[in-house]
Amino acid sequence: MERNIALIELLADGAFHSGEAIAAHLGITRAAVWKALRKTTDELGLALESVRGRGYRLLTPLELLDAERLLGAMSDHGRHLVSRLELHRQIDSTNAFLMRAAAAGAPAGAVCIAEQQTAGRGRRGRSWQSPFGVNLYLSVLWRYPTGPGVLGGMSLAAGATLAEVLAAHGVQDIALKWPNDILWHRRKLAGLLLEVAGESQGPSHLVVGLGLNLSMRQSQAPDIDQPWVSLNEILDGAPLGRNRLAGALVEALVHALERYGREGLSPFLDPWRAFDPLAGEPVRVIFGDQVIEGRHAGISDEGALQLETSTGLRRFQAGEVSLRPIERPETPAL
Amino acid sequence: MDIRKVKKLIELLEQSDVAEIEIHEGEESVRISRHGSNAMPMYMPQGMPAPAPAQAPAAGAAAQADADEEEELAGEVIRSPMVGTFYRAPSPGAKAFVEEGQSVKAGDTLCIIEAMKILNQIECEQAGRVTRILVENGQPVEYNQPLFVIE
Repeated sequence: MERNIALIELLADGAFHSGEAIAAHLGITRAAVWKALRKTTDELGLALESVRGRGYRLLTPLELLDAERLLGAMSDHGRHLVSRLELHRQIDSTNAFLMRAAAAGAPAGAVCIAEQQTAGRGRRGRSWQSPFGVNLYLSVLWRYPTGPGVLGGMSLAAGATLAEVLAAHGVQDIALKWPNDILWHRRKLAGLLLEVAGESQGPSHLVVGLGLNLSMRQSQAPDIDQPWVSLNEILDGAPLGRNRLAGALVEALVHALERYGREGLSPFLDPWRAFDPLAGEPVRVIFGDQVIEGRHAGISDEGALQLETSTGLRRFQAGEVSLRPIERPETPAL
Repeated sequence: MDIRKVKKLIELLEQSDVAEIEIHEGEESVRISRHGSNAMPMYMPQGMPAPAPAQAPAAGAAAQADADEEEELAGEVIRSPMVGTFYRAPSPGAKAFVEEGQSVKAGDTLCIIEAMKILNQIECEQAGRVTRILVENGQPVEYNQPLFVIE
């Protein structure tokens, strides 16, 4: 991995580098350069171009994570809420890392960001595809004096916070799917997974983990089993700086975590509802082995998903809720 | 790691409020701390009012059923702190956190309850032995529903 990293740091700029320069940078022979390049780009899933007489370059430049640029994108108050910033080139899972750190006493405001996750997680042990350098994988730890039972609303608060950051960076048509999936034209752009532990009467700690697709290509994520999109495709060639965006996300998340501790879910309800395009639409909720049809009645003040059904209003707080708009038959042309 | 980079990071730490920066690049890592290693500041929310429970108790029939069942349960009953889905293992196919008959100590994870995309690790608050596991893996649980009996 060390050699991979050294090579990637050289190639990240997307410019051509000669075989001689690469050999000198890595301290290997000219003859070993091609093998080293193949190994690195294969392992990290990056596309390489070689041109005789000019050398080698990455087809897509990478903006590697950088503490200085990331913190530079934050306000003084935001930086004040960050107690510790960990940047990893490779890690099992940023959430798992912070849950372990929390058990060992890490303070609120610890942040962990990685270029690549080898065991990125979604809910219930599903994996989160986490190729090197092309997305954001970011987790934040917070501590609360209360028990875990009152932290459920943070799931929606984190979703609303993420949607607001993206909208503020010019991403239009962001939609939240309960409780916190970030969709763009029904394709998944980002996901959140929260983990909580603590005593029932408190104190407790919570880790918010965020995976945001930035410039991942189809070939880097052949195993994703749902429609997805990367931010660069949405912004069409006007990519946001990766460190700048990471800084903005950390800033927004630490503020949201701190505020949730003081005010609970209520200040996040209106922002959440602002990104809820399905409200009022006919939908189908799949809950365990039941399928319930009704009209999407938005979220309750406690953050539950509400559905108006023929038997009255139903609220869903848990479980495998899958929300699908009911396709209406097209009106026949006259 | 490049000494210029470390110097830049120290300058950065001096300018901001971040107490510690740790950077891992492959095998190398550098940790720059503003304080002694044990002097990490704790930023706890101040004067936190207890927010209304995010998962309102689903009262009624379930609670009544619990009360009936409870009489039969000898020992310490661990109850669900929330409405959610009960999981006995950290991920599908993984080994269960605990089995009946197993000894546990305070702080051990007993199960996960997933609610609203939060994985809640339910910890054991006192040492003992798990005598009964009352819920099947993957089943929905109500607020206050008994999950385990620990003697």
